[in-house]
Amino acid sequence: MFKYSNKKIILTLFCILLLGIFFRFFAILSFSDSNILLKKETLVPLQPKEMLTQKIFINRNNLSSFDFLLRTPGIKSGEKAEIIIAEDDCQTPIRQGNLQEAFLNSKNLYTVSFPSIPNSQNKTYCLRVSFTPQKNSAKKIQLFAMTDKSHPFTLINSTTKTSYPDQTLSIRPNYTNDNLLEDFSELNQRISQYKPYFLKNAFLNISIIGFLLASILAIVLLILC
Amino acid sequence: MFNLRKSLNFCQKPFFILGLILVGFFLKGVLLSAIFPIFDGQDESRHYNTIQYLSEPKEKNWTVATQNGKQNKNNLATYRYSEEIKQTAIATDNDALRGDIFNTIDFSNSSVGENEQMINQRLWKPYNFISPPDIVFGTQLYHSIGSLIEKAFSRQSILVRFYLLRIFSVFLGTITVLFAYLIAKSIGFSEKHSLLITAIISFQPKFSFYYSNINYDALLILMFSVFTYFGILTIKKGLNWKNLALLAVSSLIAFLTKKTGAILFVVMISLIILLLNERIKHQKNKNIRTAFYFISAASLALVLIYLSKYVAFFNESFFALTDSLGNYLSKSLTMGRFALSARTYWGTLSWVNSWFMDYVINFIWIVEILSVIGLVFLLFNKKEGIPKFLPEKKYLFFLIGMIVALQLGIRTADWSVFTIAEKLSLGAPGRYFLPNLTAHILVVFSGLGMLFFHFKKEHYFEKSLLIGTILMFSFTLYLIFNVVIFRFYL
Repeated sequence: MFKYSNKKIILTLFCILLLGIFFRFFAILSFSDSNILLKKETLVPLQPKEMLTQKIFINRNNLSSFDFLLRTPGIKSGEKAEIIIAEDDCQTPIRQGNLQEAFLNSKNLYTVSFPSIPNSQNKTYCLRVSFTPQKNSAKKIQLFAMTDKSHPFTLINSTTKTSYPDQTLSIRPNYTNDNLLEDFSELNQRISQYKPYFLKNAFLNISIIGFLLASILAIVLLILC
Repeated sequence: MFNLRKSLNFCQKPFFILGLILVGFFLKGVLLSAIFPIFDGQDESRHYNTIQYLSEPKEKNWTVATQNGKQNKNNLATYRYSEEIKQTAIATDNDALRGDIFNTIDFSNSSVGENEQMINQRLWKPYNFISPPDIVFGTQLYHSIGSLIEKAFSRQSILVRFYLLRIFSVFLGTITVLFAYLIAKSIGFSEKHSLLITAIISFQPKFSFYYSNINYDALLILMFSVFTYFGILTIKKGLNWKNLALLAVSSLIAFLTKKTGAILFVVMISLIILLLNERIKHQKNKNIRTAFYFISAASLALVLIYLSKYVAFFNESFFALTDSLGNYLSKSLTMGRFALSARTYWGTLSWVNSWFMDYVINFIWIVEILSVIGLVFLLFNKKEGIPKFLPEKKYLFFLIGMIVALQLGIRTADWSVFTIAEKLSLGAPGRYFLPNLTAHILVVFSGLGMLFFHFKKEHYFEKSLLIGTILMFSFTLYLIFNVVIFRFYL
């Protein structure tokens, strides 16, 4: 037997861990445009003080981040790859951020996140990419690009005026929904695909809720008994 | 009238909490079955193809072509599987998941996949049109049972059949968790401590993930648990025909499931010899004692000779064997190999950049080292008695014996493959040691309990079990929601 205060401490630890896990889950909950398969086909160099410009058409609301593919060694501590998301004219900035190593363990995947753009559907945005290395370094980075003859926008190095016809940067937009309920609904939809009827939709929700309830209740009872 | 006190008392009853643990494990398994995409489990497509192959009509009235080309591991359609498996892999965009980690399948805007209706129309035959088929040869008991399910639902879509088989594995896992509780109780842990240890085992991530796949290890691990339980009962109550029969049956089922199960025959015979020796050693008639030792040695030798036919180096000379063993040990007993084996045993997925995932194994190793210190006190220190809340030495020796036997068995098989391939091609991935997960957890916490007892902090033992349960649950929850779902769906 141990004191009630010890039970409170253990319960508190349990709650903190649960909150931490779900807080992290909600933080990473955004939906990639799964139509786009990121590929490592060609390389586009980006020297310091240069700028790459790429337009992209967005087909959903609540645009919240972009994924980029960079060749290793990528961006090291003290270096910065800035992304400016501008209007179609490439002049009016809307959002900006720096590329960070993605949560997924890929040495090539980087993400830029920003406050979501609520009415992004059916709009064309201009992405401007620039790189600042460490002091006194002439290091460049190389971004992966994909061959896409049907892509309506040309990738351009706006500093050197070099264009890369039929190529688009390997980038992929990510979106959120208006609220958490819609996020869960979309996640349920995605998981339900290519599953039998007893693992879809409501049945899937039952298994998630049932597992969490049964397990958490068992642990709480074990703590309190 | 709803009586709160009665309800609370009911909720605190051990069988209710055990029920919650079992229901939680089952529903977690169902959830994991849904989350992992089709064919994504370890060797899962091969195991499912074996089930489909066994379900084929005996009269094969279709043309079978021979194909010996190399398979592209990033393209399931190049494998020698049934037409249905290959076409379903293409339809479900399986290749997108086999390549780079940052791509997912192309999702539709509803809960029905782009090609799901086509899959459900069952346009493709679940037959192997290519020879030799890529299946598990030899030990097919699990697959034979699976083929009963496959045949029973033959009119249903592959999605129904495949995921029902995954849920069958979950069901086997739930029984394994139940046996974990029975083993813990049998060796002397209290009700509450047994429940906590059972909860820890049920939340072990790799164990949970593995039991949501179509894989013959689902039945093997269960049989190891059944064997361990009846082994404990045999030690507790002595040799009797019922326990012996159940030991023999579980060994046979394990062996017919996977050759690893052969280890259980060795353990069973060793156990019988040891228990009989307790009776025989006081026998005054020397002839009886001599006959017993001769029969024991002969029995063990027969089993080992039978098993040696599976080992490639059996006919080598002594010097060649020694040289080969040295070569094998120098490559396999390295920190890197241990770390890899540990990571795969605990289920740490390397899919995300996570400080936690990088260091969780180090934390587990610290706990295990402390446990070993405690075990030394428990097993070899004669001054201190064994506290009542821990199992007797005889049970711990049996559990440690199970762990050592499996280690020796796996490494012998690995060495055998090494002598042929001249490199570590089988390896000792952590999942090979999951059959002894229950024994492992019981031994670890027994060691920790003894360490607390040695430093007169017995009251910390229950706390350590509670914290272990919470941490293991949190670890699995983190992997499910922040790693697996993220990888495949976001």
